[in-house]
Amino acid sequence: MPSLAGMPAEQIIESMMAFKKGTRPAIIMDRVSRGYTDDEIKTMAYFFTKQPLKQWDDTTLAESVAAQAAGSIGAPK
Amino acid sequence: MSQLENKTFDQKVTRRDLIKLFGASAVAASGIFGASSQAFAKSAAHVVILGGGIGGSTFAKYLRFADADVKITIIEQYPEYITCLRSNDVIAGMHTLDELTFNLETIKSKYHVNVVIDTVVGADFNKKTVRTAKGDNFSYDKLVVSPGIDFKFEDYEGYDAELAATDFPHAYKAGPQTLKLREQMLNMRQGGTAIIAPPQNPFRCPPGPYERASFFAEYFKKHNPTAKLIVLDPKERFTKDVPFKKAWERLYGYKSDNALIEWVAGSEGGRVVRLDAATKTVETDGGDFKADLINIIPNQRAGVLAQKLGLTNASGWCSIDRYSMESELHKEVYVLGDSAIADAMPKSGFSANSQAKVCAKAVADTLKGKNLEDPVYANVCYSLAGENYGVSIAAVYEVRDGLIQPKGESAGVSEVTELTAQPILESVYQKNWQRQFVKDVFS
Repeated sequence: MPSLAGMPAEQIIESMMAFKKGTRPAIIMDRVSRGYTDDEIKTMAYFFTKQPLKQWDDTTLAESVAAQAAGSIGAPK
Repeated sequence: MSQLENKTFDQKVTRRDLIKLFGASAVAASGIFGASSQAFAKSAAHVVILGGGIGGSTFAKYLRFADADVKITIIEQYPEYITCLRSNDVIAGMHTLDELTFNLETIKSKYHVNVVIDTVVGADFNKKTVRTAKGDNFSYDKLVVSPGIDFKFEDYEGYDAELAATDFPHAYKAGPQTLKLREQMLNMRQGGTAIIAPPQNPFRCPPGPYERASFFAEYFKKHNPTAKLIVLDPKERFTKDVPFKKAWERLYGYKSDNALIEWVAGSEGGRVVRLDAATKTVETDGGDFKADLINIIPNQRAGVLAQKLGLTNASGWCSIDRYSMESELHKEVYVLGDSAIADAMPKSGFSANSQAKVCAKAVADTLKGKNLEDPVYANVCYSLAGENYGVSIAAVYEVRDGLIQPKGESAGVSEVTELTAQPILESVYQKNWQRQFVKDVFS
């Protein structure tokens, strides 16, 4: 799954517009994109593009919990 | 990057603008608005949060993003919190309770939040203080209450909290009852009958009972193929019923002669009115049903603390100002999550998280003497109709005509298509969502 942080704004806007129009296959983003105006989508895109590029954190839930236990991302058990 | 220089997009966007826009979980912590390193000034406002679940924890974190200097205290009854979301997975054996258990240590250390493990016994809204069982008093400038739900056992003759804690678990707050229900499902005799009785609206996690029903059917299909699950429902419809019933047809023979699952609507006598624990029989408007396993998920009202503090109205829930989540009954007291009346928004963890972000911004703005802005809320609920078969409902919300209502054309459930990859992807997305969501809430 692509990470939004650091993604070029134009790419985010194009994707959101395509989800909105129904020209890009979607699971959830068809509905979510239809909740925002074009201006709101641009505002978000511009926010995300300014964030440091970050790889999608593809951990399992068990790994997340283990990382939490180690104190790196969250609450130790 | 060229688009950074493009004037069309070149507008200043703060984290708070984003929180306002999304009302969603997408704004991850990146330290833009970290806590002030200075000790809190004596003059700093004190915001006290009652309840360290999804609403309370999210609120504390996002209030810190919005205000580096405010003093924040969470008072929570239990040192650990088990998320109700995905607890049906524990019944199905896909997760352990440990994997759903969180505490407030990270919220405390990373966001400079004072965490008190104690039980609140009362509040004085005039003096703006709350009192705990250990005898401590906390003064607040703003009080935020996120107390979850309580069960209306009185709607069922013969059913009570004691039976729920022993042989008839409702398992609708994650914990020992969740494990008990799993054990009962695993130990049910071959060819036996199980009953799940969902509550009347409104209630926590509207798809929860139907996801649970799906997991029972999936387990029976593999390990007890002559067993049957009967869903006795007081309602005529339920959330995502179209994709759920399609999944039941595809996976569990719903409506066939060999159906593993049967759903009885209220008009067909589905409403349970009585439990006879001794004979394991439930009485409905349509007659008696005897079963080997009975899971009544009781009707609900706002959490006990909301009732005790006088925050509920005649409906049993808490009416709130839609722009801020401030109680309509008591000024400077805010109610988040399942206890709040949020109109079209379902009572979900996602909703509580979204409301907490809106409320954090409203509280921060109010403390700074700023006007409130129009909020945007969001909710997405993924459910599993089988381990690898997901269905979803989603909407973005705004306040319109005084009510929280879907914004744009966003509201909708999963379309039923012939694409086999779709429900598989929904189930994958659900797992990713859960992982990111609990991080957004607790770390």
